[in-house]
Amino acid sequence: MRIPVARCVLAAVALAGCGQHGSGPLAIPPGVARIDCFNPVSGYAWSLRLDSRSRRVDGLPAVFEAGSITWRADGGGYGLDRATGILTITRASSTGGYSAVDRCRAHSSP
Amino acid sequence: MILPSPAWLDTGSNAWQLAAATFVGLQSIPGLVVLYGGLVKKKWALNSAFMALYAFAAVMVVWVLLAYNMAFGPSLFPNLNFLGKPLPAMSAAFITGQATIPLAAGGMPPLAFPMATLIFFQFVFAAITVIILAGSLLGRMSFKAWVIFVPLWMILDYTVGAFSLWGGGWLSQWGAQDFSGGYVIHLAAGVSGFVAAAIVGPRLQADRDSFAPNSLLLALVGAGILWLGWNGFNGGDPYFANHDAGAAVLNTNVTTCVSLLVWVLMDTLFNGKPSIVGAINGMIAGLVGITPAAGFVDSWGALIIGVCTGIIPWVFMNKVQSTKFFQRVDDTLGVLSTHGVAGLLGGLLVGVLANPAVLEYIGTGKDAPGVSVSGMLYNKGDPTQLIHQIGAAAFIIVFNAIMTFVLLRVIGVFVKLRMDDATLAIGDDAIHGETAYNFEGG
Repeated sequence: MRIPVARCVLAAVALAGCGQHGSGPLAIPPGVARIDCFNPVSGYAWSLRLDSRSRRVDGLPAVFEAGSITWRADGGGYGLDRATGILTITRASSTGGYSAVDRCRAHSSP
Repeated sequence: MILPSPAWLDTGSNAWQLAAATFVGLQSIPGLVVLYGGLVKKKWALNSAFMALYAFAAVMVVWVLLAYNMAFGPSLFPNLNFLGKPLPAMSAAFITGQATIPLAAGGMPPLAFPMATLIFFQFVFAAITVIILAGSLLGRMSFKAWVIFVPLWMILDYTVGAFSLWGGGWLSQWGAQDFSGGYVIHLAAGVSGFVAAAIVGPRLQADRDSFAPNSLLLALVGAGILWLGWNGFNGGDPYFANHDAGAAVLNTNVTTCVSLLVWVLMDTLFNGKPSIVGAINGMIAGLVGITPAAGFVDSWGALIIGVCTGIIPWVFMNKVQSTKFFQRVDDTLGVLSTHGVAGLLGGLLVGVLANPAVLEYIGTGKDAPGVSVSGMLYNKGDPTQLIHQIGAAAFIIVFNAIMTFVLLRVIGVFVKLRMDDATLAIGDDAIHGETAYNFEGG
């Protein structure tokens, strides 16, 4: 499978240009925040809506801890590392579990 | 307009899945039936074969009545996810509908064959597990006790491991992998067989001292069916006739060939002669060792696994199981070594050798590159996957040991687990009124 390098670069540049709050890629502002994510292999970009007050991600209940935010969606477990912005998605399949890794940054406006 | 099948059905994948299931079924009958029948003393040939034949039939009945859904159906305890609901898998709507595994559906493509195909495919895996376990008990377990043990072990023991790792249960949600049954089948059978052998008790001392195979040629026929049948065992587990099925089949054979050769070399170096029984054990250890890894490693990884399964289970069988401590348990065919140790070894090596470039399924968008596993070698030494593999192995070992112990203790209250010595002295004729070889019958 060919990796769309141009799309990856564009997505990375776009994410690099996102608004920043404090230091680190995932300094999440209080309240509602939009988190931009992209897949480093396909270049696919997408976003999450975090609500730290009601402790929800995309409307789903989530656990907000100092180092990470975790929640379940689409039959998988999501873990967002607050220090690195690395989003690990762990899913069950017919042969066991596996993980996929995407990368995320905080966006300037909700 | 009349259509041959629903739009979701892919004829190629359905055909491959049914063929793969039949290959796995052939591994049991006649594969293990004649392998066991040939490997034991003449007086035990029929009873050993019959234990396997009975188990195949008995498992199917409990499988469709309740065990399939306990292993692959909706969760019975949604917060714990270690067992499915005990429901029949028999209605017209259910067996002809599109196959799905509810808790694992989000992590894999929609299946392209009917539920009936999935139920049968998973049945042959369930059946061969308890037949492998039988290898530890040959030559003394009461047939009546075996008749009771098989369906109960299937319902209360096998379903938990299968659901936890393959049914989308807690071990798979945690991230543990078992491509085709290194843990669910072989580690479970090896541990349960060893525990069962300890509880049932040993063969007659005369049989332990002299248990020469009655027909190595028959054993080789069984071994050959077992080997090539493994193409369905591992090649069927992607559930699609896809690229990874091909990789799994190739890897299965690379490991097995290397393991057989290394085991024969070990026999020659340390026991003085290349042994046919040793070659069969090396073959089995290789087949078992690659099972949890077949669709996750490249062929270099398969080769390394073959070297490991040719050495470590050999050492366990020839050096560890021959110690006084292990000799207290009469594991007739050394199932703990060739299945338990080899399955554990393969499962742990997934955490080291799994190459993320070997994709089980292709992922797009945020799921790119797809379903794969990263071992330490390909993940900057990160031991996460290895830790998952160790944790899953620990659960399978402990759970199987406890459940098999309890189950046999309870059965032992109602029927004798071991035949009496008079019956053991005669063998097949005393138990079944039949003998394997009748050269005077005309």
